[in-house]
Order: sequence, then C-alpha cells, then structure tokens
Amino acid sequence: MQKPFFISVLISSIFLGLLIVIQFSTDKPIESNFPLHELEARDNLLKSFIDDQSYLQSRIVNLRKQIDEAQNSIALQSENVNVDLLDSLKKAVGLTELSGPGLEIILDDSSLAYREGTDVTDILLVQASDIRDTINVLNAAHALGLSLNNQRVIATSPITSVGTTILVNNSHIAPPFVIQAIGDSEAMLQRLRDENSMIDLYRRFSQSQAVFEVALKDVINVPIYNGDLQDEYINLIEE
Amino acid sequence: MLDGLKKRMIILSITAVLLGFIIVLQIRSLQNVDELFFRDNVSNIFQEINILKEKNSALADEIEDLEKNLEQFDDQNLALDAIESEINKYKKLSGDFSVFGPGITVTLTGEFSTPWMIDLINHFFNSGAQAVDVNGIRITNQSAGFDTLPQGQIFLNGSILSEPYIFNVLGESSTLIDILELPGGVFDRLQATFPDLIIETVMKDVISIN
Repeated sequence: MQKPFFISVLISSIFLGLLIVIQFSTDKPIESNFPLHELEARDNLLKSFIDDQSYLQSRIVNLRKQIDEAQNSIALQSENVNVDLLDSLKKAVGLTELSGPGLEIILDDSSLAYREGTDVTDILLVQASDIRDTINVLNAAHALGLSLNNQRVIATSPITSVGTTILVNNSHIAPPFVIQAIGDSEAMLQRLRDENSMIDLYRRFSQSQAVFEVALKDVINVPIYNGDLQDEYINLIEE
Repeated sequence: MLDGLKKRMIILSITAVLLGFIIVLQIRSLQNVDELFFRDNVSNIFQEINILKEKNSALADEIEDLEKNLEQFDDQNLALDAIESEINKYKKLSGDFSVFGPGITVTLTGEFSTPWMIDLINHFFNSGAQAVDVNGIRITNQSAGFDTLPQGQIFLNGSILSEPYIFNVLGESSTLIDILELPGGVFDRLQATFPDLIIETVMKDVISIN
C-alpha cells in the first residue's frame, strides 16, 4: 500500500525539481528581446553589406580579366615580357579559370534544422569545420582547383563561422554548400569515402541526417579567385 | 508511526527535488563542455557585420590597386613595370619562391590531431597571415591537404610531421597574437581539447619561409 505511494511521491518530486530549475534558470525570454523593426534593420544591414560584396567581387574579376587582356596585348608587342612565367604564377595563385573532370559534393543541413531565428539547432547544421575537413581531404587527394558555392578556394582562404553564418574568404555563403573539385575523381572519391579521413563529419552526419552527397562530373568549371591578395608583409629573398 | 512516515516522506520529497535540481545542472554543465570543445567560434551578429565591413574595405582597396595597375597599360613602359611588379607579387604568394618578413612563430609540443591542424592554419589565415609554414613546409595551393596515418601521425606533402610542430606565420605580429589569444579563441579551445599541449608564441621581426 505504502510502496506505490512512495514511488509516486518520488517521481512527482523529481519532476517538480526539474520544473523549478527550468523555470528559474531559463535565460532566453520566450519572446525575442529585439523588436521586429530592429531585426529587420539588422537583416537589411547585412543584406546591404552582402550586396556590396557581390558587386566588389565581380568588379575585381572584371578588372583582372581586363588586366589579363592588356598584358597579352603588351606581350605581343614586346619581347621583354615573360608571359609564360606570369601565366604559371597566376595559375599557382588561383587567378586562372580551370575546367576539367572532377567531383561535386553537396553538404546541406538536416531537413529538421533551423539555421536562423530563436530555434537554432546546431547539431543538425553543417558546420564550417565540416567544409574545411572536406576541402582538406580533396586537397590531400591533389585536387587541382576547388570552389565553394562558386567561389574559388585557395590555400589562404579562411572558412569560418560567425554564429550559424558560414563565411568563405570572409564572404557570406548559405546552404546548400556545393564544393566543386577538379582532379583525379577516383582518387578524391576514395579519400572521401574513407570514414577515417573525416571521422567527426561521418559521425555527426549519420546522427543528424544532414546531407553529404558526392557526384562524379565530366566537366567542372572553377572560377578565378575573386578576393583580395595581401602581400605587404612578405618580401622575396633574392636568389 | 504516522509521524515517522510523514517525516520520511518529507525527507524523501526534499531529496527528490534536490536530485532533479542536480540532474538539470549536470546536463547544462555537460552542454557547456560540449561548447568549449566545439571547433568553431560561437559569436554574434555584430561580429559578422564587422567582418563583412572589413572585407568590403579590403575588396575596395584591391579594386583601387587593380584600377591603378590597369591605367599603367596605356603607356608601354609603365605597362612593363606593372607586369614586373605583378610577377613579383605572385612570386611572393605562389609559394615557389623563398620569402621573409615579420611575424610570429608558434610552437606546439604534445599530442595534437589533423582536424585541429586544419583549424589552426585556417585561423592563422583568418587572422591576417600572408604566408604560413609548418615544420618547414609552406602551405600553398599545391601542398594544402593533411592526412592522418594509421598510427595517428600527421602527414603533409609527402612528409610525416612530428612534434614539436613549429609554425612560421608572416603577417602583422601584434594583430595575429591578439586574435589567436582572444579569450575563447583558437588557443583556448586547443588547450581545452589537449590539456597537455604546450603552446609557445614568439613575435619576430624577420622570419624566413622557403
């Protein structure tokens, strides 16, 4: 008679304890602190920076093409221009478009995930580290050129996150994250399928049902690097 | 008899409420630990806006340089100078030529893993590094992929990297250190993940990378 009573008191008390803690330690208000117009202003500000960035990047690509044409034209008129060296250096830096067979990898958040708002679900989202790991594996398999959401990724390209926003070359990108890689497709595919090469990613993605798809492509086009190239702290050692 | 029962019930109830309280605290503290070990920064909208603002300013500077460069092609002599300076710039960035400059040397002694190697180098470049090498191998478009060997060693560009891991990072030393040593920044997260890892950072006026 007393035992079921004790058990029910015990369970109710534990439940009560849980409720008390949740009630008193809730640090997020049920409704947002931000008035609607502030959220809107914030989004508009972000959008304006992102729009400016797209314009600036396309202007850089355009100027580099014009300089390319001007250089070729000068090279035809003068024998003092080492065009081959210039071209090979541009290729090494990532300033030439590339085309060839390769892989297309799609990383996307789980269908149950929220990347924005107050119900963000980190565990179900693609993280910047997932993208970095994938690109590292492709580089280790000697990819000749890489792009992420149509932006050229070079060795100095940071891939970071600020909250749930992912940035490549400090430019905002949104899911799905499409990585395109030119190179030996079979070698790259083999590395990507090796779960030991990306243990974190495989473990998290199998739990979260986030998307990781790989497709072989006959032709992939990788654009030129559209960011800034800083060199003011580097000096050449004359040989 | 009844009084004894009542007393026990009160004690049981208080204990159960405390137990519930402790369970929730424990779950929350474990969540905090997870966040500490998270490989990416947890940050806010103001930081995002700041990054975009700085990035746009860097892109605008690049456009200014490119426009000046393009103008020089109107005059053949100036054009040849412009091409020469472009060749020099790309020689510095390509990784095929030896370079030097100010920067920092970061030495890591102890257990370390490939994912964190990728993250750390990513942080160097994100903090303004213009050239980086690790144990004498420069990170370039041709040598950017790390492998993990079956015994856990880190493999780069045909070489096994072993501790101490020495990173030469060219760039503005004070900015690099300020960003890397931010509370909750990459060094803090690295130290939290590998408590025995020794991280030493030295600012240098001249570092050579071959």
